[in-house]
Amino acid sequence: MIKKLIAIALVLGAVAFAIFWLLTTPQKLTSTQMAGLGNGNPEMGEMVFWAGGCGSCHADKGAKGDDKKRLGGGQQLDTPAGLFVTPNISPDRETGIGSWTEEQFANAMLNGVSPNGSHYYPSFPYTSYAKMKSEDVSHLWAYMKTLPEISRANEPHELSIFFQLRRGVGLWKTLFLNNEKVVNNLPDDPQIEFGQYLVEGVGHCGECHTPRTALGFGGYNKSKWLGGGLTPEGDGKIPNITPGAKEIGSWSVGDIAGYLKSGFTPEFDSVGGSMVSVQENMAKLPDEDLEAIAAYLKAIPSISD
Amino acid sequence: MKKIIIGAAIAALMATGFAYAAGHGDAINQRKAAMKEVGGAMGAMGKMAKGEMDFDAAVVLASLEKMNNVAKTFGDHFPAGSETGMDSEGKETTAAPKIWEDMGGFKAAISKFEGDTAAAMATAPQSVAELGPVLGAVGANCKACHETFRVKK
Ligand code: HEC
Ligand code: HEC
Ligand code: HEC
Repeated sequence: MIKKLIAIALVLGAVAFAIFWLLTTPQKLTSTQMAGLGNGNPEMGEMVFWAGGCGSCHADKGAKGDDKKRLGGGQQLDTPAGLFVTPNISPDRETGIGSWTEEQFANAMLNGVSPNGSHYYPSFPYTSYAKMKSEDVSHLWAYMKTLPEISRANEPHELSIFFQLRRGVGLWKTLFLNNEKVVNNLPDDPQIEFGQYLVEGVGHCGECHTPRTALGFGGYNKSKWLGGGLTPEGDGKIPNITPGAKEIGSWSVGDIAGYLKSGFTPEFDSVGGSMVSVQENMAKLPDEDLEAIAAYLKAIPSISD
Repeated sequence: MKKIIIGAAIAALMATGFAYAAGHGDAINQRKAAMKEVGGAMGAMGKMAKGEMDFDAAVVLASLEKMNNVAKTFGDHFPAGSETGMDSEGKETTAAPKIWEDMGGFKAAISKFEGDTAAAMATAPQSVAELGPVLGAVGANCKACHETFRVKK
């Protein structure tokens, strides 16, 4: 009898493990994803770079101007899961990602999987980048190869014990990683559609402006998309940017685009906090892109403050 | 008699306690009012730069002077104990805890603002073309300070 129970337990355990292993198997690039690669144009890639804000996390904290192109990493991101240290993603072959292939880079950006086949933590906002077209990833890669090589090895992350197993991130991904649109039923307008691509994808605005479900490390609370969140340091709020917001609800498309370009609100208050780095990235984009972002923000469901 | 003394003591304590609270409310009122003035001055010059208002060299100079005056006393409005609280309109302070953790850095940002506004006054812009770079130099102070020392509540 006991023997039988042990046997059953072993079988059940093996089945559970097999399911866990299957669910957490790192993704590979699909043929559609592969098809967009190989034709990167560095000039177009520069726009993707600024829209994606890579320099806000992978350059020195508070870096301005051209220093934002020095991607040696080493910035510490304090999160509920622990302390992340951003890696060196400069083209240095030893300490950066200079020896990577374009496919490896695309798999990191679109699937959150590293060259050795393990999962990245979503503190690297690939849940948003997964919505990018692989053509844009290709442009970005071409541009990043032109940036300065920084030789710098970084410290490992210091994560709480629950989050140390990278394999476990695979479970999280089955729940939160997809390349679908967040907001459906938007008006059929190419400008709004482009704005949606920029905000939901490469711009990763939701990472800060949308509240999380649990522990701060959960997925988005989609019913409150862009409805405002808390700062990771917990000392204040990140504002609601839907049409229902007390502050920007009354701003016009031109006001929103102007804020992203100049850093000043219609009342000439200035941008502050972690939005400063984002705004300085956005200011590098052409006006049409900023207007598209603004048009999308005016069209999404209203969340009240 | 004893009762009266105790009563008086309690009243006195309450009064100082009240004054204390009001004092901090005052600091928040004062610094918010100061920044509103700065925002208004920036608005006047910004509208000229954007062509929404006619250029007026005297208004530009007065606006820069307003900012410079604010910079001279702005540091006085952050006493210990005023880290949190509301102004008289019930709006919470957006001053970040970082101000009290790094008072030296905060004071340095104020000094830079004072210096840059003084330098701008010395150039006394006479046209929209001359206003542009001056506004850029002065305006960079707003973001730089708000990036570290301000947080929305
Ligand atoms: C919010 C901060 C943040 C932003 C913005 C960000 N990253 Fe990262 N990135 C990280 C963190 C944290 C990691 C480490 C993840 C891990 O170890 O699992 C990382 C990892 C990476 C890696 C893997 C590096 C390696 O050595 O394995 C690549 C490649 C990368 N990021 C590229 C980018 C690019 C390109 C952009 C801009 C489009 C970008 N990142 C924007 C935080 C960020
Ligand atoms: C790193 C976090 C972060 C990211 C990413 C981010 N924001 Fe913000 N955003 C903030 C914070 C913090 C503020 C408040 C700024 C302040 O204190 O002045 C803000 C403010 C704003 C405001 C002004 C709202 C107000 O009430 O003052 C707009 C508009 C805005 N963000 C749009 C965007 C857009 C569009 C994106 C994506 C391209 C984006 N943000 C990405 C953190 C972020
Ligand atoms: C040395 C730091 C510093 C500089 C420089 C600075 N500010 Fe501020 N500002 C603050 C702080 C701190 C607050 C928050 C005050 C509070 O809520 O208690 C603030 C608040 C504000 C407010 C909101 C006031 C309110 O009604 O709550 C406006 C508007 C503003 N600043 C505009 C500007 C502009 C425009 C500039 C540049 C010309 C500027 N500030 C430069 C520190 C600074």
